[in-house]
Amino acid sequence: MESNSWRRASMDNIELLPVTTNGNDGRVSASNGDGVPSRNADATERDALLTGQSTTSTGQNGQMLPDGNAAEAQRDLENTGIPHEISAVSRIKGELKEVIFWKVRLWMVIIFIFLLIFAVIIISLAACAASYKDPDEDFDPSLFKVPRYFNGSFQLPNLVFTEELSNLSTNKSQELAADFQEKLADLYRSSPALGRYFSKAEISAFRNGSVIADYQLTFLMPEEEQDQLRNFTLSREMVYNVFRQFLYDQEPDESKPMYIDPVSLIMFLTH
Amino acid sequence: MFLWQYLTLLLLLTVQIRKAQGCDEFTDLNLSHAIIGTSLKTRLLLYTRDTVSCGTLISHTNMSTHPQFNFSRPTTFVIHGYRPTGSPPNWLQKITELLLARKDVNLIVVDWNYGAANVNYFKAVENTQKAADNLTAFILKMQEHGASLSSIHMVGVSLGAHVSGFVGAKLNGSLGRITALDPAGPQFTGTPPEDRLDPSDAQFVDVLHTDIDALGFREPLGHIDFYANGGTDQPGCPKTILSGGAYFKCDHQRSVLLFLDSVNQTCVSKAFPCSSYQEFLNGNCLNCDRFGAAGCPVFGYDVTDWRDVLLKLGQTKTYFTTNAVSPFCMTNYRMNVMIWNRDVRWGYITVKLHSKGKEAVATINHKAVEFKKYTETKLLAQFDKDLESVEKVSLKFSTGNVFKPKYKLRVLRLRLTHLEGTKRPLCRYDILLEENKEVTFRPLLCEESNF
Repeated sequence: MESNSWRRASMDNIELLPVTTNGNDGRVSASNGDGVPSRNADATERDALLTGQSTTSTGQNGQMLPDGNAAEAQRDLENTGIPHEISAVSRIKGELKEVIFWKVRLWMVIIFIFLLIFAVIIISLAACAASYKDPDEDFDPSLFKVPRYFNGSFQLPNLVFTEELSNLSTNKSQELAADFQEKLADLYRSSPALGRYFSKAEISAFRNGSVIADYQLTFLMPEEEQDQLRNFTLSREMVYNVFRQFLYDQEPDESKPMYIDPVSLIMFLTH
Repeated sequence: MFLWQYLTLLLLLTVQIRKAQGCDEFTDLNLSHAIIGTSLKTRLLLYTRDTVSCGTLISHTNMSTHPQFNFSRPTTFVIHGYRPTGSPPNWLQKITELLLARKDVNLIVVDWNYGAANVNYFKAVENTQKAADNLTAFILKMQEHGASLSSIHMVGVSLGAHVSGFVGAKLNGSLGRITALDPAGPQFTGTPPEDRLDPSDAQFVDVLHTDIDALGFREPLGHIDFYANGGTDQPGCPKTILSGGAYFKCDHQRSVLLFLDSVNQTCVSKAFPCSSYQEFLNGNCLNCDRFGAAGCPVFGYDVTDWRDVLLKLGQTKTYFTTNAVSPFCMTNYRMNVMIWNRDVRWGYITVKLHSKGKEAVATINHKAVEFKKYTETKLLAQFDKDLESVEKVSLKFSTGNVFKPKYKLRVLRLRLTHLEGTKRPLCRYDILLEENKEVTFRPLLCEESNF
């Protein structure tokens, strides 16, 4: 419908305002693109009207196809020359253009869909990986109620035993005990396997023998797994060797007062 | 250029001198001989400690003309295999030197190049029996001169291994020892024992397999059969035909190189009895109790120390792994890993041992290993070299998954036990292994386990 009115308008205006025609021409081809439903009916109507010219114009169009600029130039020439031909050529050309555009869109769409699927897979995998919660880091400390005790002793070869140390109520011995308790607590808390079960470390006495320190360790375990924990994670071998390897990993500087002789480490399970 | 000319001149000169001294050389044929085909001519070249680099061609009939051929000494025969191009084997001089260095013997290189050099392999195979007849007659002559059959050792390579077997069979198995280096497979596979090497051919038959999927023989043939790297593909050998001729012969030839290393005592490779290579790699065949205090047999020249127990056991199939170059020996550790992860974990482990700036690496990647909570996983870690005192150990866990989350392996205890020797096992407790992140630590000497 629209194109009919346009044709009439262009025929009226063509001699007076060739430039406007060109402008109309552009507008119409654009509207052609938009008004897809109306185009088919329109085409049949036009085919009947333009049978004589259509052969030549399509032929020209076919030649022009590869070079868009050349096509435009030629069309401008025709526009000024024969108005009927202008409209037909431009319309068919517009149509051809559209078909080409549609084809391009098809493979683009296919690729886009593939890309989309791929992206979705990647994103979901990444999301899965990111949202993965390590089941081993998931535990409830409030369930850890069953205590397990270890005690033993270690030797501090760089300390000199004094009366002051033998009495745990003195400042000096309390300070020293606090230092070692801190050290033991740090070492067990930072243990990946034992950390969660560790409750506290206590120094119970300092004895003569340069200095020998007695300690007690308390662990808390959940009721349900306690048998396995007793046999493996919280076995004496494990608790003892985590301590032992910590001592062997120490700085080899054996003159520090806090130095614990690794060989002197003793540990028992307290029932 | 000048240097080359000089060297060539020198070489020609030495050849001339050796000829003048009366040295006899291994027959050097070329491809044209091999294409035309050669008929059998067996030459025997004698080498002794006094004439290590100068062979003497021995008369088959009149041995008394060779004073250096001392029948009170043991005699070792070296028998080569198929020579498709007719060239002398490149390992001849080396094997002569090394065998003579190890033991004061009459070393006889059996030169049947006329007969083995033939593009038609089947002709060469036909010649093995004839060569064996020839050698048997020679050995019987030696016996007449007072040589003892049980002091004779035959080292046969490829077809040469079957030649040794035929000789042994003709002498009713009274030869002392046959060492077969990758005995030939084609035309022998599937044949009855009398048509190939078998344990009844000598008092003791030890066999090395390095190419059972091509030129070698798949089934056990001796009292002990060593399958190096499973007997199929040898490390460092080309995997594709693009590398040319080496693709065909590299695996096969490796047998000689491995044996030479053992004669030279470069290092020691323990071989483990097992039903299959996979089982061996899985660490299921590390028990050597059946051999008593000596432990599992050592591959190569010195396997004779296990002779009595091996004869008692009948036939033993053993496996060992090697490096790509000499020293070929690898150092085996048993590795026990116990984890506390709630879920089962699968993955590969790379272990490194550090000592005095040196590093030994073992990669356990023949298959993904299963780790289960509170269950000891047993692994075989094969290191490229042996380190005296291990100062540090590095461990890496990987799963090979790209998209899956980064898993952690939560190790309760790791235990590394050296399989050769009596070193105390090394332990480490409480290790958190993040995927693809190497963790290095100082190992402890294990105390007795009470897990």
